[in-house]
Amino acid sequence: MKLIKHILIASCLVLTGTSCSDDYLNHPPLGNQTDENFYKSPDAGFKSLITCYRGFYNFWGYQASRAELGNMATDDADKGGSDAGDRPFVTDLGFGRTISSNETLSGYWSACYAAIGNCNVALERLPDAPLIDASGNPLSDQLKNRYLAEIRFLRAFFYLDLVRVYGGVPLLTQTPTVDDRNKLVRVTDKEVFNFIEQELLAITSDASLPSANDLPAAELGRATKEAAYSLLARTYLFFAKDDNALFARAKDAAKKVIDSQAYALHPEFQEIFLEHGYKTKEAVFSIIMGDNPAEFIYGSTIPVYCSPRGATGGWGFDLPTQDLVNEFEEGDPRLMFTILQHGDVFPKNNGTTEVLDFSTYPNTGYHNRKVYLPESRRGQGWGDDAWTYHPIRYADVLLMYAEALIESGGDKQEAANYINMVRERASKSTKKDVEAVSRVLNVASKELPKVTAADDLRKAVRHERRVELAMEYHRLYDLIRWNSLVTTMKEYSQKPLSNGKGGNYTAGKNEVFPIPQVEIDRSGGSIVQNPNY
Amino acid sequence: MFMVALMTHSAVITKAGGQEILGRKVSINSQSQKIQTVLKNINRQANVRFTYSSSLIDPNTIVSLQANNQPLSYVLDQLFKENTRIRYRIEGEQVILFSAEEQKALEQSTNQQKQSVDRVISGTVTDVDNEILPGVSIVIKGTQNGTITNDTGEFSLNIPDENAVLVFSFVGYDPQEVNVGSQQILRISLQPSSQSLSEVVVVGYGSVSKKDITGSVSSISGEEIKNMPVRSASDALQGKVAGVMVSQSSGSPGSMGVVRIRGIGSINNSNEPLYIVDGLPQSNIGWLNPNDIETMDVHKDASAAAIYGSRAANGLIMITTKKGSKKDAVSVSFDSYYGFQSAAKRPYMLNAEEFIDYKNRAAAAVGADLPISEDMKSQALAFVRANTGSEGTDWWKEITKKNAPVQNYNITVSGGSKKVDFASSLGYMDQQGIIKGADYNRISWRNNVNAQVSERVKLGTNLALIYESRRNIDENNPYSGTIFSAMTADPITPVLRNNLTGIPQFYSTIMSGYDASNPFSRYAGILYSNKPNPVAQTERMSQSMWEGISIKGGANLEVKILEPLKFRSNLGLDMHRGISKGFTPQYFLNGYDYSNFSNVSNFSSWSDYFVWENTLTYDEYWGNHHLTVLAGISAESTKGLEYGASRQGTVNNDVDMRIINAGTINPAASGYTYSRALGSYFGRVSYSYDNRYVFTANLRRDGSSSFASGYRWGTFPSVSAAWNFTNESFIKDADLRWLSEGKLRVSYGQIGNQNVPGGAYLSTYGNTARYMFGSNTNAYLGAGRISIGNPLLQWETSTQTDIGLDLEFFDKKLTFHADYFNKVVDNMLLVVPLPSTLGFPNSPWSNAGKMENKGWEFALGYSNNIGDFNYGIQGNISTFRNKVLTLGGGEPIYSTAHLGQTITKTEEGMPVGYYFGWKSDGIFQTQDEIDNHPQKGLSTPGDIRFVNINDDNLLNADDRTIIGNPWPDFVYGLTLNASWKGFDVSAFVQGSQGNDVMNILRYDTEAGTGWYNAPKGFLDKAWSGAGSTNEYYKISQNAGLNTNISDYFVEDGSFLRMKNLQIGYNLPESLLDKARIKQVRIYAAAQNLFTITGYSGLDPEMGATDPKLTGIDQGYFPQARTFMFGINARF
Repeated sequence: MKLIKHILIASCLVLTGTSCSDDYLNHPPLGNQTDENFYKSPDAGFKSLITCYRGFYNFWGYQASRAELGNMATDDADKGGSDAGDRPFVTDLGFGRTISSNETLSGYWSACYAAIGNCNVALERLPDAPLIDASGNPLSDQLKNRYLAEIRFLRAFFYLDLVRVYGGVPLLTQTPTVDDRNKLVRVTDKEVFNFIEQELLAITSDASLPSANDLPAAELGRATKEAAYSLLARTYLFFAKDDNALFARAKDAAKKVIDSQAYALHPEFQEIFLEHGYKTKEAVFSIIMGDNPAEFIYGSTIPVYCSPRGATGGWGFDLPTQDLVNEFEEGDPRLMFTILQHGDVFPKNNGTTEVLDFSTYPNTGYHNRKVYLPESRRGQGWGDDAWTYHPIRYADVLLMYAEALIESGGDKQEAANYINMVRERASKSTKKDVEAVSRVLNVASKELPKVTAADDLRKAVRHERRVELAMEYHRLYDLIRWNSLVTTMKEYSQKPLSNGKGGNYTAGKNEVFPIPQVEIDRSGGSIVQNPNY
Repeated sequence: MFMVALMTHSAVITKAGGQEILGRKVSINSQSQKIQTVLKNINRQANVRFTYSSSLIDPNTIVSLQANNQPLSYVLDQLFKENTRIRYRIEGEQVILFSAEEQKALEQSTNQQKQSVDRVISGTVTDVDNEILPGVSIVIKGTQNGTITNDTGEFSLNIPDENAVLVFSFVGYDPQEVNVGSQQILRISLQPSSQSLSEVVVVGYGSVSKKDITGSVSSISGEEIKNMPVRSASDALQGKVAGVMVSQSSGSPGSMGVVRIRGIGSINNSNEPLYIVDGLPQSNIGWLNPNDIETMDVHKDASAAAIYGSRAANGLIMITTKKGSKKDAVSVSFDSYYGFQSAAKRPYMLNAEEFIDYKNRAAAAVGADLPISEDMKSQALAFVRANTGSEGTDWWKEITKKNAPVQNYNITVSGGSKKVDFASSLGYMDQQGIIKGADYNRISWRNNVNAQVSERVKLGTNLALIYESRRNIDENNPYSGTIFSAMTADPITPVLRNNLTGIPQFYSTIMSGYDASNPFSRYAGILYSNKPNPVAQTERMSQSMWEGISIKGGANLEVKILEPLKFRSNLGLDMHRGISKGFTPQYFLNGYDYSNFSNVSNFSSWSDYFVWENTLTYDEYWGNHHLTVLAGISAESTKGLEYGASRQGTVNNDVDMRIINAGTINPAASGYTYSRALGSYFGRVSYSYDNRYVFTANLRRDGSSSFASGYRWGTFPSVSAAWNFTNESFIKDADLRWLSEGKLRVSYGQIGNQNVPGGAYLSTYGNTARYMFGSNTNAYLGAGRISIGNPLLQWETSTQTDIGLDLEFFDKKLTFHADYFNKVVDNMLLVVPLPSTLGFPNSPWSNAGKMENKGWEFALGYSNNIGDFNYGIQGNISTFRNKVLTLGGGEPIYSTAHLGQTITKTEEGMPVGYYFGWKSDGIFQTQDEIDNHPQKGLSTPGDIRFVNINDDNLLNADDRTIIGNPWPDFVYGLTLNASWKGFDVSAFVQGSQGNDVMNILRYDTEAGTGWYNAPKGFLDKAWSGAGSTNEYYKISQNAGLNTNISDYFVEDGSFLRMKNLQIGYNLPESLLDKARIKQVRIYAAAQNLFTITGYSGLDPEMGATDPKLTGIDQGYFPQARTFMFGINARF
């Protein structure tokens, strides 16, 4: 048959020239759609939305870099790993000697822009597309607008990620063409701020974006009005370092979340980080990851990346420092669920135990309990694990509100009350690790004292943020927005056990990180480096 | 003039009966025919036989003759009127043609002859394959007396005395002189003339005689390559042909070298030449048994390659396989070799005690606690002594095999009758790797049958069945590669753990997960790094195997429509089925080296390729004019299907569990199909005048499915000319006896390249992956943009200019070829890496930029003999300069390799993929030096001092520059061969000069960071305090800037390799006669005997398919040194 077809085709070539041979030469790849028919296919709107959320799952570029920047670049955590030579560029971040070829920084940049690229495509194409839902019925405007609002939330989220690390970045709000590669220009950080603010204000007033109160349990993990207000509060607080007036706006934004009454502090601190933490009322915005390869569900590599080495099989990164441990007050059970120690014992599936052993590699004596999974939670094997990260949780919102109150000259007692809500929840939490067989650490049975309006509230709220949100990748950005990254790190370098980390931090340079060299090179120099890099 | 000629010819010597023969009547009407054809015609009519030597008359000389029932003498006089040298005489039923010079000698000897007493000598003449040769001319030297062999190859001749010397000559064979002595019966075997093999060169859709070739062509005979222990004949081209650079990409059995003709044709990965095997286009010839090859013609310039238009931009290699002969019944040949392979060079790493000192020193350098205390050290060393010996584990020794066998067997049966010829060959090759767990097997069966169906119709078919299988190791991989692991794994860890004694408490984890019932569990997990146990890894990988079955073949039909118009139709097919049978056992060695579940997988790939070509050829002579016109069409299509399935969790690792149905969890499947097509029109006009001037023009128009409608078609023309200036009368008149042949060639042409993935012109949308809402068991599938295409994608065009000179001196004993070429590639098909800021899922293909390769090629050969001692020397040398002229948007391309670091840069005005990084300037000896340097705060004493190129007091990315060039100044090959009586010896040396390599392995083995081992002697070499060394940086856990890409890792990769040394012996015929064997040659050979190089790594030869990442040593599988014995026999 093939032969006959072949002969026919060849005769066709002879007899009619190119007219039919063009048909013969038409072999587009199969199994894919084009932009012409994709948006007409069932559920294309929702699938586009999913693709935008997928940005959070990028491990090395996004999740690992987030940990390396948020924790390991600061006085809260050391790099860890097998030794100094294991991802040495992460050490450079914390020492203040980062160079522009740093892999953490290039990975993070690419991951954020890949996600922004997907958001831009969806935001351009969905509004005019004849979308249908999974059953083939036309998609309601309400749903379409909800998707659009969520995507705008995500795009703002990734821009905030970028601007906090690199300063002003190229602000792409539409899909560029290949020819735009050498027309990429950085805008100021203020312009990025204006964009994020404007986008978040727009979606918070969009009726299509549901309030968390109306979010069905099956949609946990999706952006809500309150998540948008929380992100707005975070944005205002970050840029308030340059503009004091933003504290008041931050306060209002955080208050909207509190007033929604959609959230509450979860009574048991440690449960926020256990398997179903995303179901607690604490979870304002969570990235849920699961583990079931048979269903094409692949989880996070963060737990193995940051778990103890040796028999545990972790890679040993992200080690809490003694300085962070010292920040905890006596009797604070949050320390129990922030750190792990050599000799802690956890159960194994076969009835035996796993004794954590830090002896075969250099370490600070601590690991991050918030990401550690006992064997029963490791699923089918280390590396793709069910694990949830909460970019925004309610305690953070309360502390943001308290801080905004304090900095905008609001009611001191009210600010103290909000800080105390967080402290009381901690005090009332169980002082025992519910998953462990035994822990080396013993938390004194002692209540945390209340903060009063007469205290140094700025100091109090900053302390509270450091211990409550410890090892949750907020520290770097808090230090930056407090204008104290350079001074804190320089001071830290003088402390015992710091090994000189932070010693190279220099004012006028290290407030931001360098733009990845590869981006500058590939843009033909249209993207310009930060000063002194 | 006519009268003179006639008179000269009337001086004819005849014996009795001669007049009768000369009077026989002949009718001839020949317009521009070969003299051979005309003589045959006369032969038939007059019933006479012509005897002449090919040095006297070129059988291809074109003549015209008109005779209507004229006597033979008249016809002969007419025939030779243009060539006044030729005389003829009649002897028996033969017409012997000879020269005027010989006539003089003859006249002188006639008197002597009369006085001597005649005696009769008889015998037979055959070729080397013992095939009888009828019509061989036998002349008594110094006389014109002689005879020719009859139909059974026999002759008998009166000779004057014992001093007589007989000269045997026959077209296509070297003349042979024999001293008669007292012999009564002679058995003569004629050697094919060395020139005759390449007398005809295969070009696209036809063949032309060598003198009519206008392009740059090198021909290699199958004999030259068949006795080498390589998978592919393309590897055997290494060093053999000027302008062809072959670099081995791995020493792993079954791997193939990277073949580059005249530099780098394209910046992307598609630089392989096009192979045409008996008319079937192929992208590689790994499947082809080198023993089946008759000739390989390498077309380097555009003149001949252009007829293959689209795909021959990187050169064209035409391969003809062995055919049977219509003139002998059956002949059988048997070729075989058996060899022992071992690594020629090995790395030596620190022993157990040195390793501990090394790691402690690295920790001490940063003020960290010593990881291995004195007490632990003594316990660790006691453990090592008790289980592996005092030095600890020598991982390299553990993963390598000494004397790994390679064997090859071929049997070919060929033969034919008047109408049909056939050749059938069966081959088997089995090569074990010098690293455990790697092997390659091939069984190939090839059949060629040609039949003269009728006077006007010829049919040819060829069919090959090939079975291949291969097992691999993980190589050239700095994450988990076996070679990398074997160099870096600590020597304290024993290979096995099933019998350990005296395990210190701090190594107690070595036994964790040990399962005595699981053989994959008996290995020890590496104690000090997260790398796999390399020995265990090779055993696990050898559980998986790739197998391939191919059917390759074709049929062609040739019809003489009407002299001189010929129609030819060729149908080719290539059907390939590959299957990977994978098995990963369940095992646990330690937290980094384990698999929770066994995994069974099968992956299958199908591809079906068909080509159908139809050509019309017009081939005619008028007087001194010869015109060939060819026109044709071709249609090609490829269809492919790939699918795979896997499951995990078989109940155990036993062999009988390795089927997918035995898996219990995680079923998975994948699959896709693809198709491609190419439609073409082509034509060629070739014209030659008087054997002096030759012009050829080609035109091809190709349509490819790789591009969007509107951009599919490309037209590629070429023109070329040759001037055989030694055929000019002024050269002939000058009577330059030392100059045998001379030809000047010029060619210019364009060829296209369409090597992009199918559909690269399309932007596609499809499923992405899942995201979870609601619970961590509930995932939603996403979809969206998955690739950005470039609808404007079109043909890449390579424009080539070639000027060449071919000279032959001293009766062709000395040959010289020189070529200059300039190849400019425009509209290069290229992926320009885009800033990730654009947020694209990929960087699309584009036609970006322009690149040139220009260079020289020289080949020189000399062969001669001193009595029975024959010797020859062939050398070639070639250069190319690669330069990127423009790049799409002007932005350079940075390429990353090892751990994602930028290693090379490709930019305008520079060669492709040059090494890019910091320049080093010795080692900082004191803190003071650093304080006055931009590296202040970044480095400490003992670190590399880098050059701050732009003097801005800041060491940053702007200080990167060229630190090495991976492209050689020149590559060369030299073959020496000699033979004496039955003995022969040949030596082949090949090398590359002036190329740099990037020894990126040192990044890990000499850094002190991590838990990797270091080379022997490194503890003494490394910086150990001010003034200790300015060459090697310190051992420290903190590598600082030292491990950034710099010239510290760049080394000179020049090498000279004794590629092949061979000594052979032909068993004496007296011995063979009894066994009725025609010929037996036994030989011993050494492949890769030694390599002279300054490179510190295992092997400086590192072929890479991506020209942007050439010569980067990330743990290459080294080439084996092979000692082998073989036999070539004919029956």
